Amino acid sequence: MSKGFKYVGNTFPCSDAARKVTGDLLYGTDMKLPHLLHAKLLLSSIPHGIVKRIDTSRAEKVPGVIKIFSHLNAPDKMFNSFRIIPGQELCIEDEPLFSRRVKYVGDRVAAVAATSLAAAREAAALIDVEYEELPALLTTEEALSNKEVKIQPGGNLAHEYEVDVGEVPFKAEECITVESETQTQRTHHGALEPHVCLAYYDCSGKLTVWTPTQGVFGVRTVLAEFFGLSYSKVRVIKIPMGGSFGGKQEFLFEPLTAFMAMETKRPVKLLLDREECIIHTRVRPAVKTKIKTVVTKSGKLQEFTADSTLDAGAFSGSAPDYTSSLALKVTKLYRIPHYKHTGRAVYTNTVKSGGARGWAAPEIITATEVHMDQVARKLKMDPVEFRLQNLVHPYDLDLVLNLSVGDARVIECLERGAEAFHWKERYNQGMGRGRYRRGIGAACGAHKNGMYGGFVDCTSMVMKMNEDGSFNLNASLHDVGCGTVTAMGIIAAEVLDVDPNLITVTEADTELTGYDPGCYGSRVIYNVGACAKETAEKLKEKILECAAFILHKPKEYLIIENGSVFVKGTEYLSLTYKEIAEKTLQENYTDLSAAHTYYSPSNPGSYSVQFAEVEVDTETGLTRVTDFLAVGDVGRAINRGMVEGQFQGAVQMGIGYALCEEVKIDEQGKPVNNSFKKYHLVNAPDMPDVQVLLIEHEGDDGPFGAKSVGEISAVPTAAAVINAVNHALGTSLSDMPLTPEKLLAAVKNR
Amino acid sequence: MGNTVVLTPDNLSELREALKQAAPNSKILAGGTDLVLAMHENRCSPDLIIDLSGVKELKYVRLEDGHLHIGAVTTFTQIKENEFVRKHALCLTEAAALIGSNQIRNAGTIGGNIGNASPAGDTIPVLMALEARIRVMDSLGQVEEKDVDELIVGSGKTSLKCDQVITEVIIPVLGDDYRSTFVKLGSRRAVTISKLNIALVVKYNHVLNTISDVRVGLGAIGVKAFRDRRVEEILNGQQADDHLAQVLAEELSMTVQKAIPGRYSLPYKKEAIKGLAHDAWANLS
Repeated sequence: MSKGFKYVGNTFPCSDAARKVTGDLLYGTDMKLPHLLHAKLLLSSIPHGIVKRIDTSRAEKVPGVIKIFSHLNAPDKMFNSFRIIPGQELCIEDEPLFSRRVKYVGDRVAAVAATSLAAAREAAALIDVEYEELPALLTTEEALSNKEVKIQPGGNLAHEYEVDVGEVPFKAEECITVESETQTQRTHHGALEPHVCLAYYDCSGKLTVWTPTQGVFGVRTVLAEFFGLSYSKVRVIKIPMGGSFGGKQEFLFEPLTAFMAMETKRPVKLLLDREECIIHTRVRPAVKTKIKTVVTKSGKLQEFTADSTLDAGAFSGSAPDYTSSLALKVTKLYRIPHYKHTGRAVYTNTVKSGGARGWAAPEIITATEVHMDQVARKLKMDPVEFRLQNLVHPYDLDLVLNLSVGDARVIECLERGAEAFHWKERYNQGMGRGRYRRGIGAACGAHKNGMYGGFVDCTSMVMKMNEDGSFNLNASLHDVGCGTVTAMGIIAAEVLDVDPNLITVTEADTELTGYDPGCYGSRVIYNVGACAKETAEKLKEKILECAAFILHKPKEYLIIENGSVFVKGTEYLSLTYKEIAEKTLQENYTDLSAAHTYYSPSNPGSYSVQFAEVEVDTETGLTRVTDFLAVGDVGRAINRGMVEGQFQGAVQMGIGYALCEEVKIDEQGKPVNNSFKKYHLVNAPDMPDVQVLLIEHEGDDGPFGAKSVGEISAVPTAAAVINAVNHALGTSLSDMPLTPEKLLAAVKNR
Repeated sequence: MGNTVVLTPDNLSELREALKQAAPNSKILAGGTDLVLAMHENRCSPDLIIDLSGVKELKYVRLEDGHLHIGAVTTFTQIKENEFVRKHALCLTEAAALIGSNQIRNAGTIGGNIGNASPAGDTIPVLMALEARIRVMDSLGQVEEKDVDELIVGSGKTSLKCDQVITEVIIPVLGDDYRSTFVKLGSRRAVTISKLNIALVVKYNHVLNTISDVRVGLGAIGVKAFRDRRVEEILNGQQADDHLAQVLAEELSMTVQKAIPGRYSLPYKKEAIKGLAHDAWANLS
């Protein structure tokens, strides 16, 4: 238990744990509605071409088929799956419901709505499509150099940015220059639950959509704008979600499912399979980053120049925002007198890139931290010592965003982590000369806390006390599996000093819960959590006011303890919450509830420093991560076990990012590994014991000091593993993932 | 899938009756860890499925007159936990323990692994090295025995007629002076499909420190597992020392180069098999 807190900092099981374990929780795939139709997609088998002919005659004969959709009978109108608010910048509407010109293997060509999923599947396989093939541009290099083939009307350059801050310092000392190039790869999010969506358009003209989304109000915006409906006639309900990792952040299937429901006048469910999730939805983008740094011989960073190229895939979506975000991370982490970052997003005929845990931070931080090890090596300095000279200090100014980094404790993370990991002794040990080589690596990472400084970040909640002294917190939450609902309950419970089990917390429903832009962007605990705290505080004041009235004592004389109100100094004069609620309602005809809107006032950095030990088999190229420590500057752990679990899960993801995960696309543009049989995640036998060390301070505006954890936990992992492999082998590998094939080739070529 | 007939015989005589209805497009379901997936992915749509899960008579491991008799529907879990197998055919224990996941091992069967004839099937090189015979029965109850090499003819292809079913695997027990092992290399340590696998059986003379009757089964190199007779000849009668481990590694690398020339996976496999050979050798000592 944390000092001074009754609930905050303890470990509570997730509110839906029992229901998940017993199978009692109903996911989209389990949901049934009367007269429900099931939809199945037909995806493009070629990377670029024009759909010349679609013959549905065989498919239509399948019993149970109600309607087959394609560009022939769907509107040409486009949408952007990333649009959260109506006039959002950098949201190019270039995604159709169905493509007339297919732009990647996996692009949507048609869909079948049928009375059973089996019938829909059978019929989808019987649709004959004739394509006129166009030249496919599968890499960003090809797409930039080829001026004839345009994937989008404006050409293949999707977005460009340039950031140039600070000034080249006067160099009092001799400097060295280090250059590196890192390629990060496309990956699949790997949420256990595939994408699913249900929609129904009733005869009153109201559209209802059930979806495991991260932002119901964004879905509503996209749907209302697309179909020309009133925002009040589109109801979007967040349903239980089996993981997202950003893969369900964008509003991919709601417009299509709603369209089919409107056309058939029946509820429709669209459920994807694993192959469709991998080849059709979104991937973490592949990014190539070149970095050049100028560093004094004593190890002080002077200049940092980066150039990044991001593979956007076939259309725009979130790529402009994601790409620009590449330039928003490094200056949160290091003190750099002159920082320059140029970059671009490029269209290719490959699966669309999209939001993924960390939103550009894992990509750019991996490149940066692999680079920093190269600098340290060139300086003949210990990589930890080198970093310590350059990391940000609390309340430094992030030059790019012109925002304070807040109570940034990354130095403390690195110092305490290095000590706990016995970094010095282990780093200077030999890596071995035999078949198995050992190495250790460290990496630092920075991420944000919400949208303040660039986007809407407010949230509205209502909290009420029931007649028995229990509570309902009405909030637009989107629990993606990391315990958001539980955390909000703990925060409110701490304020009101009641058992968290007495507080029921809602998830989002556009018709019933207050506004919130969505649960992403590392804004949930810091901002939504702060709203929960202030809403509970508002209600607490009302409870005290009512108690003061009943007890005939000034509010200032009252204290709250363990679900009761006491008069200070006279403990026998007290009222339980239940007594207060009953009396208030029955005698004073007053309801106890509080509504509150919270506006985020700041956006400090969250930090993590991670340490990996690896063992590389130089004969098979297989790498095992044998030890791992994740240190997190999380401000304050609200639900300790869940915070630790976030780190452990993030490390599993990051090891896969470093060593094995990649959505590979062959020379014909076809995704090669379209199933979990071929797309390997790191599984339990290959996982090290992950130790977690939390650094807790209360210097920022989050509830009880809490800062974000879900994304920052996944930021430095891959770099720590790669640095460890390079330490083991004496290499400078940076072409991810470090597969056995690449490692063996590196060992042989050395 | 709508028009598939599923027959669920409860005993051998019902199985024979079921086999009478089998046609070229029919399938035997012996665990279903591959077949069901193939059906879900529309890679296969049989008119008839004969599900062996009810034929309890085909689930056993027995030691009789110097042979291990393993019923075709015996699961990998049952095989890996069986003491007779561990004592007399350790390499099969090791292979069964490394197949798939717990769930796969609980469902998947040895007969299914053979009948599925995957190039990466883990028991196939093992059974080759153990010189196992495969007993096959047809709809009339006629029984014949085949070598694994005769039975498997290509990737996913067997010489079984449509009314034939694998009923038993018969393995001559290895004497006390034999040692055996199975090693595989996938892209991770567990729940992985072999990129390479090696079954190694040797007769060891501890007085002379030599090996003889060497049998090397190799899988996941090309369309079908095989015995590497060339390497067996080189190793037979040799001193079992570190030098020989090196010879085994280099020669297996040579075999890989000959087996899959020009293949994309060759540069990796020809190197990685050396490490795997050293692992196998280390297991024998």
